[in-house]
Amino acid sequence: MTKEDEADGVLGKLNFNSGTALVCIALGITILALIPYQVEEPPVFFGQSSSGISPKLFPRIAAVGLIVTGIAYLITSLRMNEPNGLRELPTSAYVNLAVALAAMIAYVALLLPLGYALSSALVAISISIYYGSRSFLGIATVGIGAPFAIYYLFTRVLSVSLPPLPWG
Amino acid sequence: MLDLVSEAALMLMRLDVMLMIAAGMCLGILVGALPGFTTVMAMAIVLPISFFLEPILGIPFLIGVYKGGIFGGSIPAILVSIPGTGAAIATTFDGPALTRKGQSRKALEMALVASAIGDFLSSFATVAIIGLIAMIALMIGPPEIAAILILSLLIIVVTSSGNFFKNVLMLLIGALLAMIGQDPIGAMVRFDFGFHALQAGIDLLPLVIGLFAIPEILLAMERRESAIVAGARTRPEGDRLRWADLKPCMRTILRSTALGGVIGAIPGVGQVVAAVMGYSAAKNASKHPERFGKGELEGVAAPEAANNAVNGPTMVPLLTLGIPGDNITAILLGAFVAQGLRPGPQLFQEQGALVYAILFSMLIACVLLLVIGYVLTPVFARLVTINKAYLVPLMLLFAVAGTYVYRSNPMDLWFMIAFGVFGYCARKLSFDVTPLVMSFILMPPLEYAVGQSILLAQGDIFGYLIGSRPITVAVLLVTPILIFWIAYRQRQRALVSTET
Amino acid sequence: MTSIRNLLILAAVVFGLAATPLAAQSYPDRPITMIIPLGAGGSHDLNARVITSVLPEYLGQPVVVQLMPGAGGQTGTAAAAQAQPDGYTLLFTHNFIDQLQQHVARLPYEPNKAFVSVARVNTAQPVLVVRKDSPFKTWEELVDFGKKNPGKLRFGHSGNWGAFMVPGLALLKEVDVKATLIPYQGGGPVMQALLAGDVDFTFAFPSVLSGQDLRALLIVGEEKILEGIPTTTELGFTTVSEIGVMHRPVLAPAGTPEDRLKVLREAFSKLNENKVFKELMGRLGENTSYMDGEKYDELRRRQSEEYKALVASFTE
Repeated sequence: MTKEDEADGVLGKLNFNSGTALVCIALGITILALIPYQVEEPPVFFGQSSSGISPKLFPRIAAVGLIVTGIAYLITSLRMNEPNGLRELPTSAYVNLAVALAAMIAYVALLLPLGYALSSALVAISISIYYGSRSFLGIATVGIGAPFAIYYLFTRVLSVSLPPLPWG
Repeated sequence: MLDLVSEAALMLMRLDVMLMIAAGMCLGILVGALPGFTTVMAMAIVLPISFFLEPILGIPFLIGVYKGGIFGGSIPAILVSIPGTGAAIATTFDGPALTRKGQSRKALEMALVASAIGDFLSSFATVAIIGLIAMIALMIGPPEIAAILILSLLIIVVTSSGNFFKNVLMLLIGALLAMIGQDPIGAMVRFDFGFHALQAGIDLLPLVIGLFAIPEILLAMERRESAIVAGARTRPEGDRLRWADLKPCMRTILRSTALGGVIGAIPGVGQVVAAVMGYSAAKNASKHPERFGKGELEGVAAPEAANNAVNGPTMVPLLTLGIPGDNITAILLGAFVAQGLRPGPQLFQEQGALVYAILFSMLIACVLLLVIGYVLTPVFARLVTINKAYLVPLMLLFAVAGTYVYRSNPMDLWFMIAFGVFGYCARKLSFDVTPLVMSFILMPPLEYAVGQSILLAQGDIFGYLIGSRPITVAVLLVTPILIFWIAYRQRQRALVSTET
Repeated sequence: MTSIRNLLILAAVVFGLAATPLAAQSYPDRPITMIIPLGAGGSHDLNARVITSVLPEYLGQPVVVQLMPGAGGQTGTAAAAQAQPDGYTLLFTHNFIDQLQQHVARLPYEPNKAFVSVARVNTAQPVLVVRKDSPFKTWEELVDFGKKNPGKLRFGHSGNWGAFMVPGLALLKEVDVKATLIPYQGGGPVMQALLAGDVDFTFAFPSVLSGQDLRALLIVGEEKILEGIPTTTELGFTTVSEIGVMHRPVLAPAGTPEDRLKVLREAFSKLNENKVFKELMGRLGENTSYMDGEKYDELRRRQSEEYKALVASFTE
């Protein structure tokens, strides 16, 4: 085999696992570099540190571990044949997933301004309709009944707090 | 001692005691089934009720809530892949798959039976050898805990499915995630990148709900099918559990009980670890490990028996020394103290009958769990018959409520979504997230224990370990041997399956 | 029959907790949230359960506990500082979180400007303890050993800047003894460590002490809560007495309207007289050493100064 064929062989075997491995290695190096800036040292009492080990130690070990594992992973990834589940999805799935994600993000964003009951109602009704449900009773129960029921159950009976409606 | 035992039995033979335990149990199951509601929260809320009751009523009531809660957490774990309590995480490995196969009732009942058996046997052992367990508990200090945690992490990496390096990767990511926020010893802030919201770190619940429940929701939304259970069935929840289903799992249940009991005696390890270790051990011992994760009844029996078996020994430090080992026993301590009782050696002497009565109530609670659970499970099992158009939004409502009530921190919800996407991608790309979750849970206690051990050694680590901590040395020596043995067995099995 | 009576009490309490009271005042007209910046099952949680089971009698609305652990108590405290000052959010904390941590960490608020006191519910005096079979029979013997063997004494405490470490460090400074400080996650684990012999001395609160067979060497604070044991005040360690005792105050965000603050302060004052409250607290082993809001605010300012000096002296 010529040198070009061999090189082709290696590059051809690169798959999502290899990509992930590279990301790992990069991540490990970044974290190692960041540690001095992101980790403070504890105060020192009587000339002796108040912790037995520095708070930098474990992050350092983990970051180095990432780099080492990443390298080993990269090498073995060339021999791996796992199917890439994300690539195998049909386009309709992408649309559905995007809708689902958008709904969740909207939910969390609206949670505090609108309160639990209202935001839940909005999201629940939207998802039910998107799913194709046309039953008024069904949508009303899940979309209106459930959020308010959960709200009252949690806040009145179980005495824990959920974000209240904007008017209190 | 025999007269103490008979006196204790007499104290319990009252209808109102049985009713209180049953009431507590129902409450516990219901609250445990609500995601985000930890058993601790449920017990703390009903604690004031126990103040106004006699000790023989109040404390078994709380114990009922406790045991009911652990089982209750398994219900949403099996049905919709949302663990109701942390202990039910490992039940989400095989539970939802069984539900999808139309066997939700079997799965729920297996969880019930496994939980009841595990709990009963370990409570029985606790009563029988309470003195021995107390002695062992005193010998476990930071170095022992560190060694045991290292062993647990290695076992989990080795027994997780898939490529070894990918599992190590998950482990390291979990560890790093755990390091965001305050360090466990000095509370120095790490990796907050200037965001005040990150100073509290990432909490377990958003991580778990994000990694396990949200991908289920996303998977469900991939296709707009209306039924969770594939294929049309007249009874989508399936049949009841039969002896033929249970018998092959008995060995696993007993093994898990032993594991859970041992872990329960070690302070600081906990139910989640017990559940995962039980699962890993069952998978390792099985002749068909590849079936685990795809809807294998044994995969539900193993973690359930283990996480309930933790209960019995956890009570030991509380009852023998008056020291609560975790938040749950701390609440029980509050209940005792509010009654004017002081758990500890004095209580055994002064009110031995009462202490034994409370221990026996634990056994009774297990029996009641079986009865009550058996009545309630068909009801819960039918929940999956709800049209997906309604079930998916409901799942989301509970996921969000459950995540929020824990800390009232909106950051938790964003993390939940982020982990949801991560978990979804992980599933699609053949990553097993179990090592991530386990290392996330175990890394802070490990770091803490290592830090303490170094301080205790006062400069001379090797001398200290060899001189004063024989158990640690033993565990550290056994660890590599055990890991190699497990890895070897897996290698063997892989070779066999490629040959056939 | 007692069993029927018990069941009736149970039913009444459950319904009482769940039902919204009918009386409609202008304030409060909905439940009040009490944030606890600590974890479940701890002494604050237990105290709060007692408080919230009796306080609604005087406020007419339920008081809901919201646990917000994290960042050594700062997560919950920061959240309370940012809450609406409308009298519907309270903070149940202790003096070390409130006044000391500002001197060891950068906080997004200033404790004395961000909060005003409603009341101090009670105090807790830690007691220095060793095992029953320890070679140290008195406080003097412990100090003696510590001076002759710097670094050899192992002091176990319940967590950095917690209720044991602060008085402990202050004491060690007063007597000029160097010890090795070993942190544990709370009072329970450190007690276990003491019993196992891993550490030489630690502290305990009286409620814990009465259940164990330990030897007490020194009481932190003014009151002689145990017979025959010296207090730090007696031995002349007045600073330790002042800063070493744990105070449990209820705070409200600054800017809470005066009239609502008055309602809250009166409610807590009456709570303190309530028989059931006193009995339950007694059973928990806690005292009801009440102080009204205005006086406690003065105390907070003094504590801030003292803690500032303390931290400076520790970390030189």
